Amino acid sequence: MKWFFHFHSGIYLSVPVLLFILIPAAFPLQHSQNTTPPDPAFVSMGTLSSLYSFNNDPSGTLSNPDFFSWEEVLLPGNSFGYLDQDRAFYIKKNLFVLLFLTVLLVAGMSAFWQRKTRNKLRKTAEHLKTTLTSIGDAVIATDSKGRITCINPVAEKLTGWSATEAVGKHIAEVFIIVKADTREPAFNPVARALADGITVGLANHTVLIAKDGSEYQIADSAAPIRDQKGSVTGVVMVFRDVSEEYSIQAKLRFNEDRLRKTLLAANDGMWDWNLLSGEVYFDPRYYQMAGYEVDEFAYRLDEFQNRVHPDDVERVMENAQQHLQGVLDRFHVEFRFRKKDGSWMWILGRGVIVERDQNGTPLRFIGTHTDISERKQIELQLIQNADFNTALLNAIPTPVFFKDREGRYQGCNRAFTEIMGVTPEDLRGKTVSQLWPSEHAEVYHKKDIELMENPQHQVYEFKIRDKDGTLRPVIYAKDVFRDHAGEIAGLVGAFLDISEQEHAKEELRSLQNYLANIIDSMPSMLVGVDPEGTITQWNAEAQRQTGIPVEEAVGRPMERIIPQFADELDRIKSAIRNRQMQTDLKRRTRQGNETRYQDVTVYPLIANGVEGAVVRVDDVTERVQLEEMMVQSEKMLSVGGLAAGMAHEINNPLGGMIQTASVMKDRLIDRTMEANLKAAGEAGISLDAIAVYMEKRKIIEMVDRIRKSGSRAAEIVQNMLSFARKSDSTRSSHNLAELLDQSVDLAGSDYDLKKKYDFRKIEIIRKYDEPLPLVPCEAGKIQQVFLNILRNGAEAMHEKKEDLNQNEAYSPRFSLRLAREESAGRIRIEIEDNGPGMDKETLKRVFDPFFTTKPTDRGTGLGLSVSYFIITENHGGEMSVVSNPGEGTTFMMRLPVKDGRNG
Amino acid sequence: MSGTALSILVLDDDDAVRESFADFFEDRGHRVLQASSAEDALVTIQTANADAAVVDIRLSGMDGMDFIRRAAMLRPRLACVVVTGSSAFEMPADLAGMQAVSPKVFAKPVTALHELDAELKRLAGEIAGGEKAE
Repeated sequence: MKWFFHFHSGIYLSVPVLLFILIPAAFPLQHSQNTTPPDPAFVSMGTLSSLYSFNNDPSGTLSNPDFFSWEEVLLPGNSFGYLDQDRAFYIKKNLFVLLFLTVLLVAGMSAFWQRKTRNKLRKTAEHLKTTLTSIGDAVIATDSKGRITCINPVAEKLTGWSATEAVGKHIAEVFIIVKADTREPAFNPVARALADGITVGLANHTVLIAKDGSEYQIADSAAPIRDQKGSVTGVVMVFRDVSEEYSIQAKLRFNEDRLRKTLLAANDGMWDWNLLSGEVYFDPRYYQMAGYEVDEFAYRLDEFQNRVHPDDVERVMENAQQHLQGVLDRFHVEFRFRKKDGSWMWILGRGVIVERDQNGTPLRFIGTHTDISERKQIELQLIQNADFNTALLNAIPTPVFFKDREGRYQGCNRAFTEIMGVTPEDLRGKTVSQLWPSEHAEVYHKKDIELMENPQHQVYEFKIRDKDGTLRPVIYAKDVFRDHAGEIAGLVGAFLDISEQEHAKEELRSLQNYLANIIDSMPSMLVGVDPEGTITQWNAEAQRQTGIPVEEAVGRPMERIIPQFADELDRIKSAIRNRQMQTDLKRRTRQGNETRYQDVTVYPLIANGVEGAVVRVDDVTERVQLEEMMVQSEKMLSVGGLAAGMAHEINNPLGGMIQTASVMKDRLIDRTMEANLKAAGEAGISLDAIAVYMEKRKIIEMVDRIRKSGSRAAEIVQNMLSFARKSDSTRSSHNLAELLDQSVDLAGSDYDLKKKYDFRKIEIIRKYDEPLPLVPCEAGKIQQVFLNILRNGAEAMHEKKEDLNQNEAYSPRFSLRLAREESAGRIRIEIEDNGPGMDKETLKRVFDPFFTTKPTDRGTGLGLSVSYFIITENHGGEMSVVSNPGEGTTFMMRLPVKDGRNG
Repeated sequence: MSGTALSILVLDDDDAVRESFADFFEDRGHRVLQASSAEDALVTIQTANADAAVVDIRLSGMDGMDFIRRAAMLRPRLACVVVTGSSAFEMPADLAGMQAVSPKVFAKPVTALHELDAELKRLAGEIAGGEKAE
């Protein structure tokens, strides 16, 4: 009571002071919203009370919403909402204080009222009334029955009842309240205060329904009014409109809920580190995301640290420390966190200091944990991929580069650097025109644009100038790459230095030309065929022989182009199959009157990957003819050899015969020989008588006949010997006149000729230059030539004679001429007959081997060709023929006076 | 008829040929020595004087050329004329270089025997003349 009086004695001073303090404190929002931070003392108190209510709130999260805006925590960099967080705190606190003071005041007033004088009381009442009227809260006082005794203007406004209407009415009539959530009638605090005589605290979530039906969220409280004896004489109720406050709270709850859901959805866990207490709060999600039960480990920092990977913990704490020290404006670190199952998850830890004391010392540090395992895995994979790609690019020996969509280089590989001499750093961000000679850059640029416009694999040949300034031909290959949206993000290009290929191509080309030249220069017909017999190769000789140009032959079946070789197909196939050369020698073909010989050789192609064969056709007619001539020659030589062997044996008996006959004739007719005279005398007969006898008996004639016959035999042997006298190895100088005459003689003894007619009946006219130089030759062969010409001429003249009528005069005649051609160092031999002559057709082919106008049973057709061969080939001479039908034929030969043999 | 009579050796293994030569030379007044082999002929020219020789080449045993070589050592002044039926005969160089060997070779059958006679006389006279000149 003493305190009470003391209190009362000061109340006159105290009330205005209190009001002065309380009224602005009760409505801080109106004054300080969006202005300066509140007094740190209030912040501090608010923080503590918030923590208190937080910790005691069974729901765990609900009582904490007014602390700060979560969005602002999650969006670091914003300033924190000090005003918002503190608003509710002010309201609550001030209500308490106000209520308490009001109760004191009213109680005091009541006691005072009874004690002081009426006048004074009235004055005081006026004063209080003014106070009540001025106060921001609604105040209603009742008597002990609950009837309203006093209602201030704020209460009037909220209830909708004027003081005059309300005073005297029961409180339940004027003050109608329902529960905000259920709309059920709310318990009226006045009733309880009256009934129980206690102060009824603030009830939340109460809606006041005004007289006009409008509703207000109110916070109310009621305190009993006691008299001096302590009896309850009434109740004073204070309430206020908290609609705004309520909606803020609702919003906070909503935000809170949203936050919780967001964190849940984001898989984020929240932590809240009280730097004063060292306690670290982990929210349920924090536990769950790592597989722990909620609250499985204590709210301690070391629990967190123990679960951070040993390799990361230092870094994490360093980062936190730097933020606490103000080096970093926020805590942001990635680390591995041990899950309950022992495995590691990647966490992105973020946080900020949210509270500091007046010295700026951090008090509270809040943040989140985000599970970034998946991202981290992708990230690690990306790092590995990037590393792999770099290694891959650098391992490729082909220069590779890449550019962005605008054609600016973004990089290149090692091979590119090695050739072009620029590093990825050198070219990054540059365009082609900044790097390369303009004449190249223009083309590069044009091609890049083409590729961008038509994004298909691009390949083209161009050139580069390398770091040494060497111009190199290259093949470019480019492709675009796209971003995640499928838009072209740039291009990747590579190029291949084809200098060597070009060089090789050039070499190949020249080699091909070279080979083609060789093949075309071959005197043989060369025909390449594939296994099906299609012509793949056709050389110049083939073209020349067949008259079919290469364009018509290649690619067509062999049997159509050269049907005469169709029968070689089997041989070709066999050659290819067995990989063995096949030959068909001296293949005989008939071309008009002429027989031609060909050697066909089939070579299988044995190079890898090439199937086919080359058919080589050689015209060996000449060789075959030469062989035939050789045979003929050999025949003659063998005759000669035989004659040589026989000659000695025949000459001896001939010698005995002829010489004896000579001696015999001498002894018969020589009348001067002493031995004859002596023998005749001894016989008793005269030589004259013997001569008469011999005359009568034709003895001398007979002896001469013996001698002549012997001599003829000797001549024949001699002529036969001329074939053999000149073997291949010997050659000596001869008088052509002698050889020609011998040949004439030989022709006369030709048995075949003589059977038909006598060669000796042919007139021989000789016109030989004198003197004739000797000619080095093989006499046997030259005679063979002469003999052949004479024989042919004789036969022709004989035929002409037989064709003529008996009446017509015709005498066969040979004109033999030998003339010096001094300037040329030759002797010309002419053998002319006056036979039927030859037409042009025959004339053209008269030296062709096997060409003959004679019936097949006579003559081989070799004679003149052998003659031609002997004169031209063996003796380095010339041979020709001139003839006109009906005018005879002249064979002309020229032999060099010096040895004209080849070699 | 020339009065120069010679002593002539006829060397030939063919009897008919040798006899015909012998008859011919005897008819011409020469003294004729005959041999059917080179070996016999060598004996003959040592035992009898011979001015000239008609030499066949192909002989059984020693051939005509070797005979000439030996004879040249035994009787250097023997005038030798080769008569052969062989067509392939060519005078060896050593014989061709001898004064006593005739460069003229007669082929059998010898149809002009008087030419042979004349050559023998010429050659023998040449040799004898050369000797006298010494």
